[in-house]
Amino acid sequence: MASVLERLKASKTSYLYILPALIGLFFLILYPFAYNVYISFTNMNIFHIRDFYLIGFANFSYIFSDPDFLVIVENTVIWTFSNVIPTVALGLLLALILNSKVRGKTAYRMFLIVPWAMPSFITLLIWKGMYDYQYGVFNKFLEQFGVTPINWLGNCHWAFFSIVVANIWLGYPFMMIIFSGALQSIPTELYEAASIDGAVGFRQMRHITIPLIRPTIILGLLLGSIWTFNNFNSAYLITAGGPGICTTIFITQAYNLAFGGLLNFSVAAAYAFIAFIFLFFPGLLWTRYMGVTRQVS
Amino acid sequence: MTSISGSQWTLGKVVQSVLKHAFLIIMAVISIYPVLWVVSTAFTPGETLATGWHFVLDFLPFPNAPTIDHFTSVLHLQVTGGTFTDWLRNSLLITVSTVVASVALTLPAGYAFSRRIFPGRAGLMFSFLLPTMFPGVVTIIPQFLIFSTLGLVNTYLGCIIPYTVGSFSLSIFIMKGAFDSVPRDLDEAAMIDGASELRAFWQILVPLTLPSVATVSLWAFMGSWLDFALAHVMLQSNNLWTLPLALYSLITPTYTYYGTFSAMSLIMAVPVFVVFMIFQKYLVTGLTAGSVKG
Amino acid sequence: MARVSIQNVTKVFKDSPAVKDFSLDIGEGEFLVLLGPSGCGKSTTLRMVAGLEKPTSGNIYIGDSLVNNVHPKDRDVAMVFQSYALYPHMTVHDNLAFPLKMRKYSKEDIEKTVNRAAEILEISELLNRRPRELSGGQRQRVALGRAIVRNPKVFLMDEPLSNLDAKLRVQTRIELKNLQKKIGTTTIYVTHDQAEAMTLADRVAIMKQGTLQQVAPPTDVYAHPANKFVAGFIGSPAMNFIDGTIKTSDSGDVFQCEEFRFPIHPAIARSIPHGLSKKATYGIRAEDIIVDASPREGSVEISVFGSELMGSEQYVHGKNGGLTIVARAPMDFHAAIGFSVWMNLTSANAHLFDAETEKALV
Repeated sequence: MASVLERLKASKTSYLYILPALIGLFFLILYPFAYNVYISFTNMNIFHIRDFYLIGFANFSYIFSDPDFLVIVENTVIWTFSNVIPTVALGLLLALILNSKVRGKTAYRMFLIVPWAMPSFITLLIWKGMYDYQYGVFNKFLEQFGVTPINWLGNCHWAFFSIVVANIWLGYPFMMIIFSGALQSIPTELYEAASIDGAVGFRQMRHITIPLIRPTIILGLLLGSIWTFNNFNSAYLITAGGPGICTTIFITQAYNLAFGGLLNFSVAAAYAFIAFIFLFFPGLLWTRYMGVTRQVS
Repeated sequence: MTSISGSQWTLGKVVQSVLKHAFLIIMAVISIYPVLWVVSTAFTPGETLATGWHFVLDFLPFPNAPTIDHFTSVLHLQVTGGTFTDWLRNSLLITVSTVVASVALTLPAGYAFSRRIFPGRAGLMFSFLLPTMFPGVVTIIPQFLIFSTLGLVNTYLGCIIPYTVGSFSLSIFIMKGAFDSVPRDLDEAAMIDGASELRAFWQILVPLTLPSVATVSLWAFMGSWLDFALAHVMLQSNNLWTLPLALYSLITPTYTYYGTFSAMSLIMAVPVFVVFMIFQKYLVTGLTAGSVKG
Repeated sequence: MARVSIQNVTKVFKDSPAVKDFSLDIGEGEFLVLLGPSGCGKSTTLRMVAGLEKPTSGNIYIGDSLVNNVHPKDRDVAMVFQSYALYPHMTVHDNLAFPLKMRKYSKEDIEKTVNRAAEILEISELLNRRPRELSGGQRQRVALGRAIVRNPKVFLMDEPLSNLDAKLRVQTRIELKNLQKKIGTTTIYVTHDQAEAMTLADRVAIMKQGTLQQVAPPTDVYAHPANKFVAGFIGSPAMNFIDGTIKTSDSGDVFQCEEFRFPIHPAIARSIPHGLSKKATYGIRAEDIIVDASPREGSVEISVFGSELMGSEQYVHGKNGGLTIVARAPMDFHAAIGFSVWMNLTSANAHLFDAETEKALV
């Protein structure tokens, strides 16, 4: 059997192809990652910006003993689920409709893509403005119907709802696109055969369409979860984590710790590392589903 | 059996069609509504805005006395040494380089992951996924430290390299998927025809995966053109500023130049939209190549 | 099973007519083959019977019902696609069961029917596999199975054998014919392969560019083609065509072409009006030509440029001027390349076609 060394030698050209990417990977991904893990075990902050030293698990125990921590975990998990499921569902529904007989597809697509194509820091600021208690459009709208205005950003639960809605708005175009692709790759003949066999409309969808795009749905859920978990913009720009810590998720907390005055990079790094642990398993699933097992036979 | 379903069929279809269009229209309106505000603000005279940026009264954002002053002021904007032309030039240079680099690197990498087996393949693929699993905000510091050691702070490369590497997370998988979906028979046919592996790669495989190349380009473009966080850290001299940095400078602690801000946002968003519309027909094939079982 | 009646059906796709005023009545239990080159409209016609396309004008009846506006699922037809269209995410069993499930058969009935169909088609061991694990021939049988489980009024088949290798195709052809005879369902079968049509059909309907050329049992279509197109399409090797003029006179009728002339057989000559000179195309099949090594009265000189040795016979290819003629000869006939042989083209089985209309004169 070929020894490890021999196998490495045989794969020389493969490594050559990925070498530049590999270098980038090492320096800009693996090294910062390792560095980050390292820092999380030190006490790097504004007081010890250069002369930091290892302090073992102190940061982690600090985090875990913080009563806020559980809230943040809860927030992050609920944040992820309440984003991913509607985003995938909306994207799927839109893709299904656009895949059927309907006129003006290109025009609709053009509009539906806008949330994704526009820079999110701008649109999120608009959303923030729309949620404004006094002047925001939403409350203006409610006033027309005599409903008492809602404190979209000041009330804990509404604030969470607000950022989720804004983030869903940002997310469904992408899902719509990947589902459109999957739907288009189903041969029309299968639908014809199903028609003749007696399946139409919803039954067709249930027995033919959905099962065939199941891999894509799972992909969307996985990738969406990984991305949403650490999605910074929506949670930060609209509410900056507030009120209190109602809309604080892992990443906003890490940011605040790192850049919010105390420059507490070590604790921020610890938070980041914990977030990574959470995502390790889904990430693994994603790799297997997306690429590793799908070797060209 | 004669069937009366002929006419019922049509009625049901009409109802379905109406529902579909209604839903699509509602979603389309929701999709562009916030953007309409940006457009409106960009055309609203400064004096009106000075009374406070409030989304007052109108549900339909429409300026009463539209003006293009903000757009012209964007073009003449100057912030201690940098002008609009500087920022545009910088952004273009960096973004185009990123796109080129991204394609140049993910093509061979995607090919290697698709067509070859080598030790560590699985582990490496997983590693490319790390950036997404890791809050990006925090990696900026170590990246900065590395680049400052290399003396690349405050240079174009200081941005191009991270942007390129950052795009790998999705792009390498896209290219791998694209190559996966090209049957191996073609490789073999090309080699029998006398092409070396490299030529087979360039002349046969790459043309077949152009939709995915377009997707990778679009992805790199979007990640680079609109980025603020990294540019903010990496580019310090004012005449090296990219457009997003200039945009942010319009938000000062004391006052926000909403009109100019909106106008500039639109100017920055237009290329994204245009590039997007050009590439969008490739986008669908590009993102899903190889991921759906054939 | 039921009759199918296609009446004056026309189908136009965006300015180009695919099917033009097509009329055909198919009897109960009949195996009818729609034959023609690609693009002739045969698949479109089939799909209109299935309900996958709507006729631009005309009527289609299945049994006694007008089905123009009836959805495919309510027409009680079954279809076998060229690409089989098997549901890739279902096992063979579920593929077969699907049509029954859609019609809300009971579980026991489904099992019984599926197993019976699997037995008939000899795919019982494959029931738990998925389509991608099957060979082409196996997939084809599953596709057939899905059609027969429902016991529909009509089977519609769109070139179901074209994806199989030659040997398997021939074998499956015969099995298919037997199966149809056993089950007795009216079948409409589309193909471009004339040999397939000849083997399978009770009647063959030949189409060209959307119009029906001739519909008749295979032997009739072979022996009495209605026009030059049909004559040239049916039979292998293809019929030889010679353009020229019929010269009728009292001394006997003669066919004159640029290169030579030869007598027309009296049996054919009888049907030609006398005293005429008429431009026509003479058609004769390879097996009706007699080849000789030396000149004979009434035969024409042909220079040999090749010969196909089939084992039990050979086909001699020869030229004279601009003409190429293929004739059948016994294996031991020596046809040397570059040398001349003499072919007797006078035969009672020959055909004459009008030079303009291409219709059969005889």
